[in-house]
Amino acid sequence: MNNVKRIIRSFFKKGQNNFIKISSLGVGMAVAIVLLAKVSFDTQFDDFFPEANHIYQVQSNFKMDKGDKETKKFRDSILVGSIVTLLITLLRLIGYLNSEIQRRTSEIAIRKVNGATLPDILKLFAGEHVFLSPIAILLGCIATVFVAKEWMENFAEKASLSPLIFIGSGLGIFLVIEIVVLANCYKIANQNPVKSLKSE
Amino acid sequence: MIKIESLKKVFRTEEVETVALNSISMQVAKGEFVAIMGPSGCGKSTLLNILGLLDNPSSGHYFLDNTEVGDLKEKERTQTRKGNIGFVFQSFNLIEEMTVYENVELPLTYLKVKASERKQRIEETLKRMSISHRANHFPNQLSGGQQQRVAIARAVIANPKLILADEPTGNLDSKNGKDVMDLLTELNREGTTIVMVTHSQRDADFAHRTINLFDGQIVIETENLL
Repeated sequence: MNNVKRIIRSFFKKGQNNFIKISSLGVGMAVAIVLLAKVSFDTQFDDFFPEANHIYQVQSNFKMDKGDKETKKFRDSILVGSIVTLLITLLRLIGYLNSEIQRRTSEIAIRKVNGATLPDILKLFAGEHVFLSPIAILLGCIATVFVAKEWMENFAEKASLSPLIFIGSGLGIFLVIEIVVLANCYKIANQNPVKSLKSE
Repeated sequence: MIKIESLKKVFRTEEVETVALNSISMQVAKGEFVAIMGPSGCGKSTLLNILGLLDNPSSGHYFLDNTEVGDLKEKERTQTRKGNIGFVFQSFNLIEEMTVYENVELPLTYLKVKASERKQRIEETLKRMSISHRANHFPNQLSGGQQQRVAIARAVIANPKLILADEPTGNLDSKNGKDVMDLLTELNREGTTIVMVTHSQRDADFAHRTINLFDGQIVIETENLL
């Protein structure tokens, strides 16, 4: 309970900084999820137009009418863009997490000196992100729903926006966060605490 | 209480090998207050880190309460250190995001002390260190002297047998420095063994005995007249 109070207090104490970081993560995730959704229902596009070319298949003799060709080009470029956006968002997420853990290197060392074991430290830091990460992911998903609905108004044929896309993406991002946090904490917690305190 | 025999510590990098401690032997009796002095780089802090089980010697023996602890693994060192050894650092090393109360509480949480007992012990300790009125403040709201008093409170909250102080007055003015030394002396009078590293002869004069190191070796030991 004390840890929960401390996490909430720390969140509001560094309010502006955290708000900007979480919001930017939320926006990044929203973009990534929208584009993932786009890829998802673009592949469903093929169900509506079974005779059209699949994005993964090249048929040199296949003849398409002009409308289909334009849609295909648009879809292919969006696919490339979505992969790049997702990579950028993930890199930014990993970078932010790395810098957060590095910032608290001396805190890890002080806790170790005062009796914390490796599991104590891993539990503490992983647990903190259990509170913060869902907020960011939820913001991203909410933004995605609005953006995706608005965007799909442009199409006569609408593919379904399954909740599984959001749940799957959210879980995947949460997993990435926990892995990065735990890996960094493990590395720092295994160092000699005196080295960390000296360098501060 | 503390006995080290032919203790050696060598730091190795790819290019250089540095002998920080060169086969030193010494003893510290229970309830004694020992000051370790010497120029920068003589091995004082390395010795303190080994005494505090923050590091292992390269060779030699370290007995704490007649138990060999020099070759313990990391997990065993943490377990031995918990509740038995308190640390006071030159730069206080308080956690900025935690209040004074929470900083002092830290060792007790890792000792799994019950909440009600924790509260009582913290309040008593803060009162003793004359810092209870700042219990809900953060370290950056305190003066240097107050921060060091909080650090000492954190070091003594678990009633450790041994306190290791690494230049505890190094970042303080003379008045606050004297207050900190008076606190440590009072703790020692109550039976806590203290080993303190210091550059200051004035601070060393508070101790029962002074050990001078030079280039990783003990050059002289003097008994202080108190």
